[in-house]
Amino acid sequence: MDNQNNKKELIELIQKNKGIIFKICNSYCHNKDAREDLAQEIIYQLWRSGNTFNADQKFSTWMYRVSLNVAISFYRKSKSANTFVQFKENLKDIEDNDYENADYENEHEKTMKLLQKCINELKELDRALMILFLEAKSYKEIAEILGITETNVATKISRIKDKLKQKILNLNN
Amino acid sequence: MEDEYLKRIWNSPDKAMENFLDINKQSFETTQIKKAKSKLKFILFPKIIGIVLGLGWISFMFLLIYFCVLYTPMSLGKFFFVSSIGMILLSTGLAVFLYIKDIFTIKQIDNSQNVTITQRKLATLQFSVMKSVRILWLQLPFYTTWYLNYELIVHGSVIFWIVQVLLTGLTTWLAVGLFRYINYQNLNKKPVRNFMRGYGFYSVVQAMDFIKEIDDFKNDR
Repeated sequence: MDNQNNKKELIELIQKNKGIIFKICNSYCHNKDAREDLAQEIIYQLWRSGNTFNADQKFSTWMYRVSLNVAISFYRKSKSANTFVQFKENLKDIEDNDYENADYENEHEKTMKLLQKCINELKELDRALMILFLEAKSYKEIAEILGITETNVATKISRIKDKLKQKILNLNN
Repeated sequence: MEDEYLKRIWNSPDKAMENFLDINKQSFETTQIKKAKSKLKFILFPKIIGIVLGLGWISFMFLLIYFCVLYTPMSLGKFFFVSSIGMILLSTGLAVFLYIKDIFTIKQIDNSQNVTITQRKLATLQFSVMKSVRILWLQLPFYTTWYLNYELIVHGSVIFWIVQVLLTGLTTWLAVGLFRYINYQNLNKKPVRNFMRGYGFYSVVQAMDFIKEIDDFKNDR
């Protein structure tokens, strides 16, 4: 994607799929500033990697690969900066308070918040896997994005899903 | 709680999403300028520092050898001095070479490859600082031999020889031991982890843990 038209097309495609960036930022960052920073980093890397996208593959597959790679690196960078632990602990308090005190409009919103909370507690790679599963990606596409076998995807999803459901049910009761 | 229910919840419209990111050409270009300098800074920065310090040290060692070879007469002392400093220069040079090689690898990191491949490459780059540290350790014994000369060797006292042999022996044992012991296979052992943490290589330990996590993830362990 070298010329102006292709760049315009790339921007349109990213704009159309910005939900991907939104979900990934929410899953790998907990505060607004970090989320914005990550979103910018993802956009920059998508823009930069534009020439690696080829029309034979699905745009969303390519976008998930770049976005997840950037998000995981960003998350690890925050973790090794050492400030992350403290930040995460503070955040946990805030989140817990938020959860208990929030006046949810409906059950749906409450479950969404719980689901997001549970996803955020998973390891980096498991988190990526569950995001892709919840985004209704096929096992084949998940395997392509993460670089693991389809059988492995199925086994892992089933294992994590059970834990997740149990966690949500426990938190809900 | 069914899968479809979870997926429906996850993909339900989000008010915050509507206001999230107005992506246009201008925002891309602003971001591009802002981020151009921050690319992989957390991996790149320590390596650049290492290269600058290493090159400074190499230049200093090179000058020492150069002046010694040119301006001092041939002697046993000169032999020990030049060969010791030469070995220090060689190991520092190798370490700097590995750092430079890493920087080229960083430039080739492709975020559009699958997640496990890219993340493993990045973690390996962070971990690779250990290769340089292992090589740098090997120069340790030569800091105990560069000053040896004819006078010390022929007329040195017994105490001098006891101290000299102990010092060179101990540093050789330490250097070879660390070179052999500190490697990827041993990084899950507690003494090695503590040693690494103690020397400020916490991010290397984290990188190693992440490599293991990626391998487990890929192999479903």
